[in-house]
Amino acid sequence: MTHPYQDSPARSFWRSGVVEADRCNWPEIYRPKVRITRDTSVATAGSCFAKHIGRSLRLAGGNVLDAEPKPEGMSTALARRFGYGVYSARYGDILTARQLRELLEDAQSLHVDERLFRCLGGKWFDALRPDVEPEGCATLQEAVELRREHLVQVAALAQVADVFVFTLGASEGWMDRESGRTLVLGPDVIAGSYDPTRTVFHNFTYDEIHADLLQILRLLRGMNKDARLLLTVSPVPLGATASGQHVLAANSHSKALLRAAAGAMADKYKAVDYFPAFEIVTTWASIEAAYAPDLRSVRPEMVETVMRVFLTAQGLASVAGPVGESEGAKR
Amino acid sequence: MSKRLCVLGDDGLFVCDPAQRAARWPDLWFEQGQVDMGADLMAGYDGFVISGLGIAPVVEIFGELSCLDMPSVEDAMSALDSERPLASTAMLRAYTRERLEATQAVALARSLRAKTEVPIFLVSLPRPSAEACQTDGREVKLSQLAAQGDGPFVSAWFDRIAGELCADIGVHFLPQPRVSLTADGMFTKEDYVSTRSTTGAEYNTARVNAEFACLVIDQVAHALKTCDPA
Repeated sequence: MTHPYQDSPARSFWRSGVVEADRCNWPEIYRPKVRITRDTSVATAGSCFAKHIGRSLRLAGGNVLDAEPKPEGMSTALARRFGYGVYSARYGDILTARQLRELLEDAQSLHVDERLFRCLGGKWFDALRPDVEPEGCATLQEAVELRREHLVQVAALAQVADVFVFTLGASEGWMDRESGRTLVLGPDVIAGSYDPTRTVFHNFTYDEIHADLLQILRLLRGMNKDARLLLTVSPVPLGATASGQHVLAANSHSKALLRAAAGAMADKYKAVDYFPAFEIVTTWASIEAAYAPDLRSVRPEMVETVMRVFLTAQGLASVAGPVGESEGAKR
Repeated sequence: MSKRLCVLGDDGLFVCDPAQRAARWPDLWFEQGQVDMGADLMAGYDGFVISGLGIAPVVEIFGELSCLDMPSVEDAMSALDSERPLASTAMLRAYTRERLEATQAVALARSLRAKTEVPIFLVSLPRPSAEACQTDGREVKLSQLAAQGDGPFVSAWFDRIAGELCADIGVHFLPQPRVSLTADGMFTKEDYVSTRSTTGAEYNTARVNAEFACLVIDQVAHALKTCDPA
């Protein structure tokens, strides 16, 4: 008697792939389609979990780009406060695919929309990346010119990055009603108080997320024809939902959409890969606690496990250096 | 009533002849002190003069970053060309404060402030002389900033942030006397530079002459009369 799974490898079966597997190292859970070597120029962006990928790659000797490196004499602590060294440019957290798409579109056209700057207490904030200038800018012109220069650096980054690693964070976002642009945080969380006449909640659908990812790929390859996209989904749950659902259900909904869209992109395009960080962290099969007591932050030990799986699969684990902070390679 | 002041750091103030000092400021007595003096020694002084805080960190900052207020930036058109990315005023302020905080002079000022309530004056170290820069080829960044027309901005920025920082610590910052500076504020005028300085300038500071020392002592004397107690 034959059956359709008879030639399937051990990883295809729950018992051999999960129950009896080495659940510290998860062999074969990730078989890279997009290869990263120490010579590969890598750019990182996304939600907060993306920063772990950049840091681990650097420690492993990878060439993680930094288009906006911190000033030489600035302490790491101060640099972090102003958004240096977190991702490959000072764009701050990018939670939705739409945000990255719009950022790349802006970078291509050097488009700066003055409607997307908020004034609070005499200081001007860039609503698209308020966390990189936590004290705001002295004038609107200063904020606008800083953004324009940032876009120049993002464009330059996209032109030289062989692999763009993007960690999808959420399907839920907030849009500026007037410009139609997607904001990074809930309504004016940093730069003011909630004004429902200015911002509107939007929960991106599967189709929208997939279309945004496709456009991201097109934009990246328009700026660098050899660019490849490595997608991950952040295992960090939504801090809050504006969907009206219970946050646990809303989180599952959001992550499912992101996971499905990322998977569909990776299935269809040679230049797109998916790394299952989300699955490694969130599975109930894990033998170690994945989350800190706040049930949201991923424990460092679990981050280490995830990155070990990633680096091992990429053949970079053996060159990993000591744990600690390191700076990115300047573009 | 005469005041006994302890000078810590650079000995530039003592270039001024003791007899001249005594004649011009009969109520002030300056002594070179030790950084690690004990509480009993400290108690004998009516004030401390720390010499001093130099412009070097600020020159380094504006050698790698720029801001819209700098004339050379030309409404942001030249920032990337010159590989000095634009930075926000807030970030530049935080960065400058961090760099100044890391200097020995500010650390000493903080340490003293924690131990005594008498006035503490943190004196600006003299800028280098333009001639020394040309002769030795030193201070490249400083000369570049001056040549680009950014001198007045950089000089004023240093004085402003140093003043703010010192005020927060509870000490008095004394900027370099304006009369001793070139028009752009970046160099010490040759009139106030010791002849030794053209061949032996310290990094980002000039060896100054007695006339300069007198200017600074005038500043201290004036500040001592007008300053609020700590």
